[in-house]
Amino acid sequence: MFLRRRLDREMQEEMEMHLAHATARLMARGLTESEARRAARQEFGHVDSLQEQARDARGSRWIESIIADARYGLRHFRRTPLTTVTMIVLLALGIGVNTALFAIVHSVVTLPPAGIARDDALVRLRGLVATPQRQWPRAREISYPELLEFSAQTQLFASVAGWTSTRVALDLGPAQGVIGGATYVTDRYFDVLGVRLTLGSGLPRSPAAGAPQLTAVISHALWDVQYASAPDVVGKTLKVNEIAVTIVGVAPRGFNGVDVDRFDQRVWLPLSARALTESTSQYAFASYDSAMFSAAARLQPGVQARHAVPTLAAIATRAAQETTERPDRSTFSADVAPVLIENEAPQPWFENELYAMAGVAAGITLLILIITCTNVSTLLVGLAVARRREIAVRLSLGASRKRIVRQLLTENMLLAVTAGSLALGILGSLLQYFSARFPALTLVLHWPTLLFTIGFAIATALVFGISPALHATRLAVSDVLKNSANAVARRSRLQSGLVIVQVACTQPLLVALGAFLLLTMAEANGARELPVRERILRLSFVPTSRGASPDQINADIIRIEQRLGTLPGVEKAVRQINSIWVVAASVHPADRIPGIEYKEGFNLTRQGAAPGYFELMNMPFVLGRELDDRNAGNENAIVIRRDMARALWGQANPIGRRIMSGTGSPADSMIGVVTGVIDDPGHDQFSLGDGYHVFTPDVRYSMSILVRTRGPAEPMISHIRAAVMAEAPHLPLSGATTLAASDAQSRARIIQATSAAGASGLLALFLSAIGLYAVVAFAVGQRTREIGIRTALGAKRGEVVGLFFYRGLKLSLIGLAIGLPLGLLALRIVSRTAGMPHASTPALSALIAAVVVLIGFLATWIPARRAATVDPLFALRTE
Amino acid sequence: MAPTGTPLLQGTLDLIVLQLLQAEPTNGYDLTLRIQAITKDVLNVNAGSLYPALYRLEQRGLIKATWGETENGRRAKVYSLTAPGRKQLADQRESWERFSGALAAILRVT
Repeated sequence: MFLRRRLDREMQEEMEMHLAHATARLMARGLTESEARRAARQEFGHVDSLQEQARDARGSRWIESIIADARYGLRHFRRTPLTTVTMIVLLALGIGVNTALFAIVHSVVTLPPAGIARDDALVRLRGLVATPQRQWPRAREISYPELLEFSAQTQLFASVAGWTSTRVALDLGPAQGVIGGATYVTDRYFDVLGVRLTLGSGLPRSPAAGAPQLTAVISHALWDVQYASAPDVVGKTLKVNEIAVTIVGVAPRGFNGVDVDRFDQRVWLPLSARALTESTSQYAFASYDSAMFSAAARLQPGVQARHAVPTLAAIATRAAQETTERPDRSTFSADVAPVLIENEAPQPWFENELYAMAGVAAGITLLILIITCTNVSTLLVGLAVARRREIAVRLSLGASRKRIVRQLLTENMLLAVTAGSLALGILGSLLQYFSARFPALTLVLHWPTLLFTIGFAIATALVFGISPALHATRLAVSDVLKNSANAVARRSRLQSGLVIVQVACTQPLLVALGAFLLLTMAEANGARELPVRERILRLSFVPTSRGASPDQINADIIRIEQRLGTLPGVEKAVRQINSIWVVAASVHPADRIPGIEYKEGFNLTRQGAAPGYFELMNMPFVLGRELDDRNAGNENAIVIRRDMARALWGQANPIGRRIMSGTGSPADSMIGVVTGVIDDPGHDQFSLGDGYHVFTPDVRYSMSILVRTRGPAEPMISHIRAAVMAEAPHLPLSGATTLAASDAQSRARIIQATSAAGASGLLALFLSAIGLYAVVAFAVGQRTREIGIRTALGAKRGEVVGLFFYRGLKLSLIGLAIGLPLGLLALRIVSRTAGMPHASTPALSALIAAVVVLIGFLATWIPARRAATVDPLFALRTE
Repeated sequence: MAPTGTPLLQGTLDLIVLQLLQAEPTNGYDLTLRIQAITKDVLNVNAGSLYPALYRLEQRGLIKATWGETENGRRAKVYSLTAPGRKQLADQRESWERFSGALAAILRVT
């Protein structure tokens, strides 16, 4: 800066000296002083342009000139604040949202499972199996003898851990239990994975021989949920499949083992405990055929993962020879892979799903990036075109093209840097939000992505921002002043297409936003809750895998059901079966009504309903009767809902008509004969949306009981729990929630799921509004001269504005028309899954269309109105 | 602007400047006078091309500038040749001489 000023001053001084000398020389030849000065100046040339050239020749002082450029750029931005702010916000959103999405995808695909630190020395020893039919080997679990052989490779591995996981019944004390995960681990499991326990000393090393170690480390989630994070949990006992085990530690928050499964309430037990807690045989740990282990290891210092592969592969090949013959002629191998979420699951479907998800996310990411960049570039093209005259003037004053381009570059950099720092803020809050929402994800900011995204944004901005300018610098000044509109016509057509796509995409995303708002509102005033659901409590029991037979448990459940029915304050208790079946079904050919079209093989959801179920659920019978003892001998009795009766048989009496499985051919078996029709105002949790719902009398092996109380059920929970414990202390209770509470829970899940889509809906709306705005503003800027002529020839302001306004409106209407089916489809899906009342959907879709039109209207109107402010005199003179 | 004078051949100004500065370090104004004096007013180099050329050469490290005083006591920027400048001059001179020799030969033949 100072250097530049000094250099300018020196240049000035030098040139003045030159002029002084020349003047003196000319005066010596007899000219007067003023004549001499004029002649000297003439001889010298134009001082300003000379200085500009000289500055260019000086070249390398680019840092100072960039600062000057930046100041010039800032002045320019201050003149167009709205556009500048829009561009910065757009870029920042684009960069921030993209990088956040990528961080999530990246975390899912390439990071170690939650709670395990990234560490190159930590590897998974992965068994592989290849069949002649499949080109790529699949991951397989390894046998215990193989694990031992892997562990013996001490020249490769400093330590090796193996584990096998299963689900178990956890019994945590009086009438409290849960189905959870159990992982049986070898010594040093936590050491190898580098996991430090939150509490406790951990599993003791197993003695060479002797009694099994009945100790357990519990997961943080289990500690939180079942022990209310009590600090004195170490030393307490819990029962794993009815075997008492002492708690010796609590795993850190988030850590849930290496393999991904659905249990976050989990225990880790020493391998030796497995003989007592699981039904097992002497072959479990002895046979090469018994493959149930996964393994991880810490590499010896200096050993690369690939060095270990041949040894492991050789062990696996030898192990394959020890197994019984495999009919598929598969071959065993093994390799060493990083410990990632992605390559932990041996099931290929999981990988595929993961990649599909990652692909979709990456696609959305790219789409947002492209839309952002095109919108920004439209704005930039508009700006650059508007500045052609300014550029031409600078050129004619003697600035070089290089100089002008550098000026524009600097301005773009300025934009990008501002947007980039704003994007970091957006990114930070997004990552924080997602980390809080999904603690299992280890979100790490991926710097290369951030840089790539910023680079991409800058590159697009440069290409689009500079190409018109370059064009301008190549043109003769007079050409620029004549304004060549044709060059950009093609581009603006492309831009229009993009805007249409954006508007079209906005609608389905807005549906999610609408659903989100509706659900949030419903949540706020509790509108959807039927009073009866506040009075129904669902008690779920944990089936234990050992000890009692299913029939014994069934007897327990029936006893508890009867006991609860006699409790004061309880109206009714009915056992319920927890599972449902979806089957293909059709109407028996003899029971069809002429004039009604029948679909073969529609989806039918079957659910068991014990006597008293319908009364308890407040589902009155419209026709026929209950599935009770009077149906004895008629195993095929079914109760259907009124909507199904109406759809299949119209106004005819449905009682006695038959539903067949499959497509209704004679070979198919019967599902049931309709004996009753109920009116079902609110659906039970099990309604699966598509297809019909029937109730059958089969309620054997129920694992839950519905209890209806006289008043609100919530205050009675502890009372009911106590009664259950007194009746059957050995049967752990895993949950007691009112139906209203579980409704609220599932709504909360949907709200959470739709909130992300809702946010992207807002983003899409914003983006398409900007896109529309940019297109119209650009068109107005391009056609200033035409507007001037039209106004001069007597066109009214309104007509001129209309010219542009209708063009923009046309784009948004086309987009609306294309997006409508997409929006309706999204609405159908959302209303199904969220259980929104059907009455609200037409109103919602109308509202969404109205919002899109309104926003489109505004985004078009604001720039179009600018056309009216064009002064014909000014427009024609300057253009 | 220049009333008389032959237009300068492309690229020769650098050579002229380097050659004159090798003879004696001097300032910009002196340089214009010398060019005119030596070439007997045939070449008229105006300041508009001289100064950018000087800055360019300085930028490339072929000449360097120091502040000195002229005979009549004014502060002036004095340019002198650097070592790379000397080498560049020798190279350019050699190629120029070869070129002009060849040209002269052609002109004699036809």
